[in-house]
Amino acid sequence: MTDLLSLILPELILGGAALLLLFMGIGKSVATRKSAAAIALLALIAAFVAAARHASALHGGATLADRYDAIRLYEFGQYFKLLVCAVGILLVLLAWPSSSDAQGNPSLRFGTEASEFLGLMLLSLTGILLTASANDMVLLFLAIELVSLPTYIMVAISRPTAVAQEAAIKYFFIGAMAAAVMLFGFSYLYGTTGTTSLYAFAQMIKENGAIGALNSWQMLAVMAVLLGLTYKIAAFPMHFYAGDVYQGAATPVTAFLAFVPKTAGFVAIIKILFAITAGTWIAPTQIVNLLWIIAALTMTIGNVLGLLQFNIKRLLAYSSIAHSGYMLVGLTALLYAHYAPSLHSSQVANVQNDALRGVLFYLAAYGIANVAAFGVLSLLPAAGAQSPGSSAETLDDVAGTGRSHPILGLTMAVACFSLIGLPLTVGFFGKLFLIVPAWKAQLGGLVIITVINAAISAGYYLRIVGTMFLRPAATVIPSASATSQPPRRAPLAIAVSITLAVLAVLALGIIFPTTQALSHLASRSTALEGSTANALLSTAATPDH
Amino acid sequence: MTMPILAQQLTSQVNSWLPVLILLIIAIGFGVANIAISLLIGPTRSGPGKETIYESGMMPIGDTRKRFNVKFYLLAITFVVFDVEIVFLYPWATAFPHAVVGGGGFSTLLLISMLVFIGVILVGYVYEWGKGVFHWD
Repeated sequence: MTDLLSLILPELILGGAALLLLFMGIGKSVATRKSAAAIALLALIAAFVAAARHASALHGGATLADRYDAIRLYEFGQYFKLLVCAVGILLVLLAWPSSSDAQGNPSLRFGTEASEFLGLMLLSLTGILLTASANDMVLLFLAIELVSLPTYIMVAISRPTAVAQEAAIKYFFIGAMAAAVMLFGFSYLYGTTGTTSLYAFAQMIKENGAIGALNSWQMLAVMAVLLGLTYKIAAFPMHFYAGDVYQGAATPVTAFLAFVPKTAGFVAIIKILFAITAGTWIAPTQIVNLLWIIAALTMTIGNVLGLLQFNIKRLLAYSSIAHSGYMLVGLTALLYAHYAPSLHSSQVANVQNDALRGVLFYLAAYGIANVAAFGVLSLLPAAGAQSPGSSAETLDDVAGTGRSHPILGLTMAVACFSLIGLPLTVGFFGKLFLIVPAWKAQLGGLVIITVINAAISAGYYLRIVGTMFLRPAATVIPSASATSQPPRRAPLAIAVSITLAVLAVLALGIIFPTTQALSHLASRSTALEGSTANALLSTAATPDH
Repeated sequence: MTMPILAQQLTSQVNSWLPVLILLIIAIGFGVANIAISLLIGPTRSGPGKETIYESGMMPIGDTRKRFNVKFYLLAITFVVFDVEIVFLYPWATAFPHAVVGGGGFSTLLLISMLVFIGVILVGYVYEWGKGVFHWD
């Protein structure tokens, strides 16, 4: 029992802090709201430390499980716990209530609900940590929903405008539908095996000799679960909400939406794939083909629709869809490696390991660059008279800002370069680590589609940068008083967040040892069941480090 | 798999679902029969009194598309939350004594789990209270 409590200590810290923040929401003073942000930050740091505590125990692919097998923690889960706490700190800083009445910041206006907002943020992050360590399908489902449910409210209270309310309602209803479909899938997975434990499920698949050959009910279940999770990662069949929702939410919330549910979705997909392949990553060919199609369509739809946007938040929403597509390429390579016609069998495990490492690395790279891009956007003022809590939205808003705010302009440029995947940024290695395994797994067609898409994405990312530096500022009609004011001083918390993110993007892109360190960490975190699961592996796959 | 075994399996499957099928037929038949019979032998007189909406014998006032005070919804949600809490408490209360007798530290876990559960709901309750949801004036 103590063992269970110590395993989920980071979750307990975050969840406890979230409850405390809800309590504080009753208070109406400015001091309460200011201290709420500090508490949220401290809780995330404490959760990071608490999660890092297990690092030595997990090193070398060990598994930590509690007595009831509800939680199984591997280096895989550990990686995500640390990543999410780190990026979570940056996201809390972006949402810091820095205005004098502590009711928001230049881009966010939650009014007196600052404590609740930050509490919901922590609850959502708690959900990811639980997703990373859950071994039980019921717990996994609850954890994924714990990620999503607070975000619906966060979208609604992030700013007092009708668009935000509309976005929240859309997000909620589509989310509820996706959750229902996913839960339906989980129920069939349970029904065909009689167990809710993912680990027991994997063992059953192996003992029945059903690796790579699920029965038709299980196929249906996997498809339903995948459909539900494509909503979380904003991928092809369930991507259409992203534009409206990302545009409607306040910019710091959009940054949150672009990273947090996506990460939870990928963690869950990888866990489900692990369970249904019994850890061998040998899935039925239909599922591999399905992933291939989803990956190709997601990338292409995201990038082509991104080209058509004039609202930057909408543009980044479609680009976020495209990034999910790139990561799905990694997952396709992971599952296809076994079927690659001329890949030597001794190399399969290698390619699988590299493919999964690519996905893990890319999530980190994307998360950091994403914070930088949205952070800059949240600091740039919107042109014309604006309701409180609104920052730059359209390309017209940012025109010429690169010259009036050179540091912000350069930061945006770095973030965009990283999202394109240009060298000297972490995004380059992110794309590289995804494409190389896909090439090795002989997914030539998919690699070509990925590269073409990366080129398309350069079109709209460079348009943001180009507009900021090359286009003259839009001459605003009468209410120019708002824009002709001297540039607002960036609130310290947001400035710190963006600085950290940009430094990380550059450091991981230029200083090779740091890149190597992160990729090594990601590579180590690819073996889910670690040493114990080598009993699970049917082909004598030896993961090398 | 040879054909006879498959056929046998199919038959046994069909047999085990037979009661469900019968229930389904009765359920649909009951509904259809009632409507059909009342259409066939029911009187078809009409009038203003008969055309109005049935509202528990009262005269209906206005229509249903009215705006309600949002507090009704909040109160209803609070009720549902505590209702669900009771639903969880009953099986827990029946299982708890066995865990205490059985020993092995399991009862402590059960107690802590339930206290955490109640605690979380209590936070929500206090929050609602603090936000003035129960003020009706």
